[in-house]
Amino acid sequence: MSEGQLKGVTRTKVAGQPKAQEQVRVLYGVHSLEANLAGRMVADVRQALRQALNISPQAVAVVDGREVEEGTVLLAGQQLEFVRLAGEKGLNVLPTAIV
Amino acid sequence: MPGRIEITLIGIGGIGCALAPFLARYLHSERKGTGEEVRITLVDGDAFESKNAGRQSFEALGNKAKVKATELAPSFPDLSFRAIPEFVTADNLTHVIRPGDLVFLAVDNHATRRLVSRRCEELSDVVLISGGNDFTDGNVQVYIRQDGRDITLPLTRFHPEIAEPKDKSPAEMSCEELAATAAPQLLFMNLTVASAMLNAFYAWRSARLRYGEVYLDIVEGKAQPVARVPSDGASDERRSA
Repeated sequence: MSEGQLKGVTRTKVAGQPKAQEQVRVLYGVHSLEANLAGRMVADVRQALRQALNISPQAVAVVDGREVEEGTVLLAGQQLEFVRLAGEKGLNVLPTAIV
Repeated sequence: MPGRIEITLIGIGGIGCALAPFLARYLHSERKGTGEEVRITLVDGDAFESKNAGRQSFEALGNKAKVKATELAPSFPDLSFRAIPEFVTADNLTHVIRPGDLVFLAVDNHATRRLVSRRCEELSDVVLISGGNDFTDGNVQVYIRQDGRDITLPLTRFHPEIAEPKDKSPAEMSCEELAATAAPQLLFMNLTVASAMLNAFYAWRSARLRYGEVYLDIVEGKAQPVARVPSDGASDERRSA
């Protein structure tokens, strides 16, 4: 599943789209989205969102509060969180505005 | 009979400096109703220098813990202030964090976070509220132990960067290393994290805390709370790690 496909799934709700309880909620830091990801592996979702959300390779995958392996298959209604690393020390990358 | 609350604030930098006066003012105000005896211990081995003045407010140069404790005491005479002018180390940890403490941890390195979290895991009752930030985002973690059980998860759980830190605590660094770690920070982000730490404290005090971690992003204008509840076997897994 490409990033574009994933965004396409999450962009708008239209008739015939899965109901919320059939979807998987994905969290990374302040970001969250719901998408029809049931049956997908954690690794697929990480790959699809890696660039868009800048997910750290170190980020642990947690489903409904439990740490899971990358091969875990997601079920409808679950919540997948990629745990964002704790804030550490100011500026990692200079924002354009102050370069 | 009025109770006693022992609060330890570790790290009096950008976040700690913003947090301390509001914490003191709140406790001063609340104490009028509860009559609680309150002691606030400020812990930091670093010295305030004029170059830090952009994000940190101190009335004098010198050790941050000492200067801030001296500064706050006259405004809040009903609270007790104590300064420990040291960085947290394995050697002084049992002295700094005692059973039953409420600990605010406002440091910028994972090594100290691990040290403090591990110390709290040894205690039967403790509340640890830890905050940190990058430039425009950050997070707050809340670790609560009650009657010897984890109510929320320790800082190290789900956070390999804290469980196996690649950085050093300031106590382990040379002056050159300390200078090299200085990175630009945004005052507003420090304020946001300080405020979120106090919000977590208030929610806990009023028995309404519903999250174990909250993420913050001031550009996105978002806060995302997340539950961090031990699942069956999680504690065993963690302790054997």
